[in-house]
Amino acid sequence: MYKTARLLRCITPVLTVALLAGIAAHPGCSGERDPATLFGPDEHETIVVDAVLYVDRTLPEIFVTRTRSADAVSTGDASAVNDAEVTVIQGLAEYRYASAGRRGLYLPPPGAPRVRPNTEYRLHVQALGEEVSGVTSTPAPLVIDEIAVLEEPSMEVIRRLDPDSAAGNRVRYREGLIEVRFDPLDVEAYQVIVLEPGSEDGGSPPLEARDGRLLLPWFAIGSSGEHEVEVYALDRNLFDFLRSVQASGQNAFGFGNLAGDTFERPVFNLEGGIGVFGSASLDTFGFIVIPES
Amino acid sequence: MKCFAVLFSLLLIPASAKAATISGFVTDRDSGEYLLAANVFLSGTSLGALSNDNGFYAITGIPEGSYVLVVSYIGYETYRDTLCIGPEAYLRRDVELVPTVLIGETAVVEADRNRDERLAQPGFVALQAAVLKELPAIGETDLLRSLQLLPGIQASSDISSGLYVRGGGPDQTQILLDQIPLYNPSHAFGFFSIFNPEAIKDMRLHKSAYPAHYGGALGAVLDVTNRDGNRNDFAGSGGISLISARTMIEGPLASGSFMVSGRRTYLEPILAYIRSRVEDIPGYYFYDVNAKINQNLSYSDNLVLSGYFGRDDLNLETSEADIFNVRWGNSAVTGKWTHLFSPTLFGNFMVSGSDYASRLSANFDGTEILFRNSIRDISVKGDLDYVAGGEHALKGGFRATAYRFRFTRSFNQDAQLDLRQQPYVISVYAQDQWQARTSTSVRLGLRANYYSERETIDLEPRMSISHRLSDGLRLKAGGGRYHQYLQLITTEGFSGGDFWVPLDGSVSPGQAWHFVIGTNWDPAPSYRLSLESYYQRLRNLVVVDNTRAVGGDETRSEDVFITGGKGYAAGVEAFVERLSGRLTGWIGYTLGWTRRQFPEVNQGNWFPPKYDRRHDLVVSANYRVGRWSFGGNVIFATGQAFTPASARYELRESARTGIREDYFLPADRNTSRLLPYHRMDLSVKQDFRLFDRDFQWYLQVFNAYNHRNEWFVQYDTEDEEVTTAEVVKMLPIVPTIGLNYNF
Repeated sequence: MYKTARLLRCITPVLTVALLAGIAAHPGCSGERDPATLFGPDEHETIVVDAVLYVDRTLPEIFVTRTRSADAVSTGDASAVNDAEVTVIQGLAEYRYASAGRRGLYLPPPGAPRVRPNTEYRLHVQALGEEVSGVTSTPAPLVIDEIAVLEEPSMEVIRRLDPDSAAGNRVRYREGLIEVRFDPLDVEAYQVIVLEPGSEDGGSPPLEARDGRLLLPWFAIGSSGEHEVEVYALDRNLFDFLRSVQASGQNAFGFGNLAGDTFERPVFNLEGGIGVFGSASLDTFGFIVIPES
Repeated sequence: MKCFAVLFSLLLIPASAKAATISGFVTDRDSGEYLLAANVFLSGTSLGALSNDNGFYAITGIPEGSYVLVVSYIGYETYRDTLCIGPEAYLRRDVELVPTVLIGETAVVEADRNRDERLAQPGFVALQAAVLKELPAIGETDLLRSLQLLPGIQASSDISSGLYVRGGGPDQTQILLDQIPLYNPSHAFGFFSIFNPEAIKDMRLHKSAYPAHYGGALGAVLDVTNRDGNRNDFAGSGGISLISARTMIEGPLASGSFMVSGRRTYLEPILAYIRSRVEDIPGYYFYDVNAKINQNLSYSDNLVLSGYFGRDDLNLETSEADIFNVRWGNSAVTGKWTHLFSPTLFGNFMVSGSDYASRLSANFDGTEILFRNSIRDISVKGDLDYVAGGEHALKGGFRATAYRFRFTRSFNQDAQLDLRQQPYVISVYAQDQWQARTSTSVRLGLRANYYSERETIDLEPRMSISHRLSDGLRLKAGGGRYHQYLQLITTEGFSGGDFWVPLDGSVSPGQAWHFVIGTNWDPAPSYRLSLESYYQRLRNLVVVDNTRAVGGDETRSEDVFITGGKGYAAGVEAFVERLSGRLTGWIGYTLGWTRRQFPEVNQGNWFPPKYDRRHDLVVSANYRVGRWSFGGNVIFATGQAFTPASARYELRESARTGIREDYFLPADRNTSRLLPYHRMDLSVKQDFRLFDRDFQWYLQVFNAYNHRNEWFVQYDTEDEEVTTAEVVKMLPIVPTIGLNYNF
């Protein structure tokens, strides 16, 4: 037993030094990282579709692009796919799109009809030897019935705004909460976009409003003057994409792209490619923001 | 009822009518503190016992004769006493152990050589406060950070005190303070744990295959016991570091003792000074208070009242309009009565309440976002320890816990969610520690849980076995089934403002099977080697669904979580420890695999969680020369997993505005690795006396060679042409000085 003790007493310092030397000599300890190792397996050349149908509007323009390597240097039009075959199908009707020859933009045929509510549309794209397809079911029309200014915190209605006239809707900054009221539709969620001069606000995350009421956050208002608010009822595809791309840490509050936490592939609902083929119905209203002071 | 009375009266009779019984309490001679898990045995026989949580032991079935009673405990001189025992005798023998310095070769040697198989539980780690204080740390000695130096336990980052035990997340480890569950064990977003090192007496960690008297966690159990207080003299200790001050006062009180300890940061003036020069510096503080009163009502009755209260508060005010505030804290109070029914029957009864509340609020230009979570439990608990004979130590008990849970979320004054639940859990358990043979000890247990939301009874069999192959060489194995009814919603990076949610009937509770097998070898008196392999199979895992629409009025667990997850963790741990001499410390190595799979995550494919580590090596050493002590840790670990970007694509942010935005296409989840993690910590301490008091100053250097380990990767597409990937690094070298004192 004590021979073992003596042996261990001798080998412990040797073992410790050897371990430390081994750790120091490990290639991973150099601290130098090849930047390319921060990117995953390259998935460039995947077809990306960007098509959103709006109820009661004409068939929209569609963009077809391709993915680029995450670490590649690219120039403006490098991702455009200008030689695709793009078709939108509704029932027995087929609408073949024409390439604009730039930016991967495809235009609907002349005289294309308006998008119908509660209707199924299919998309087929053939490009780069691949076929991408998707299906969307358009929501019912969205009609804003009422816009109320509520007092905080009682949430009592102070006054109502006119849904049809922006000029008469003058609201002092943070005067109260602005609530939009409408008949709820059979959709998963809504989105609100506030358009104001000089703003590039991309819109809210998907908002549930089963009671047909949405409160506008004042932080979406960046300046005084005339504002237009668009309220969208989202189909399943748009809802899935918006909720999952936000959750993946992109464009979200906090640690965007925190590796390994929530950086997750969005839900695209497309076969053979990625992107969005969705639909929405919308209504708008306007108001003028008067400075608080 | 009649049957119960008969059974109870039988228990009051010493088990073996023809044999003798010895029982009593094991205490520290200087402070009078009860010593738990002290090894008590009759030399040259297989008869022995471990003292329980209250220092009580009982050895039964002793034939008439002369024996040497040995009581050993690491850090104390071994107690020996020759006893002449007659037939059918009952002998009460309370033992006071004399503390000795940890490097006292002789004392430690004896304690270790006589280690009983009952201590050799698979996946079990015991750590005393004295050992804890010797380890290098950042700023403060910290229990959870010290545990991260043991094999099978990992940290998620330099600033995290969260415990990732054997492939489980922090939510799968139950943390008990004086047997009360604490729901958030961290201060400062995980930088420190809530355990004040001055107040800790003992801690036991069951890394897996934990016994039947614990329950409610899929992974591990950390059981921390605070000091009872010095029964003999008034005493105190404390410390001052760069960020906080702490103190503990204890002393005799009536027929018992008291202990009060407190800790508070004093960062505010420093932060205020920085804030006057740099924008967006938050105000922050934390404090905690532990208190305990311990009273001996009689030789057989002891009453303990204890409490904990802690708060964290962070406030960030970037302008008049933008305010961000996070506040969280635990409160817990316990009343415990222990009663010695007979020389072989010991009872422990407890009423406790624990409350955890967190509040996160943000106000952006008048738009308020508010999250509030509170979970309050009231528990009634009873345990009976019965030594049924020389071979059987029975333990049984119950615990009934009523929870009151509330989670509210409001956005822009709109109360989007007001979730209230009041579930309860009733658990009963029975356990037999059976000395099957001189060299073989078996622990069999069964726990049954009734969870009100499921209205079903979940049975949890538990088993462990320890077999001595030869002197100093033991085989051990264990396993069991476990359920978890509460789920933590947290982020992997920070642990402040965590939310706890009880699962309701719409989701099956998480379930795990643990299997452990290993060996302990004591090749020499002061060395211990252990090798252990583990496998855990997990079912019904849940993860919070981040893709829910804002404003969703989720009322069911199935709305809040992605469900149906499964997973496994497997690995091998090797641990070599030197227990005595000038040089003490250990080398620990873990080889591990952890995988998870959810139908709606990563396209249904299996993936490693972020904390999956293939290799984890820790060398921790302490060298003492006279009044000087030099310490060091070297850590090397496989880099954490992360999800890399595999491509970049472009979509219009809104078809109406036509603004185009770049997005990343993530690769499969956690398919890349950060660079291997490594660092070295060093410390030097010197004891000295001043004004007839003991002091110790210390210098600790965290990350001594200033290696900036990788924390996470952040991608940036602001540049339209090039994607930049930035690696955010962890802490640089952090030197700390401080002063500890005893009075």
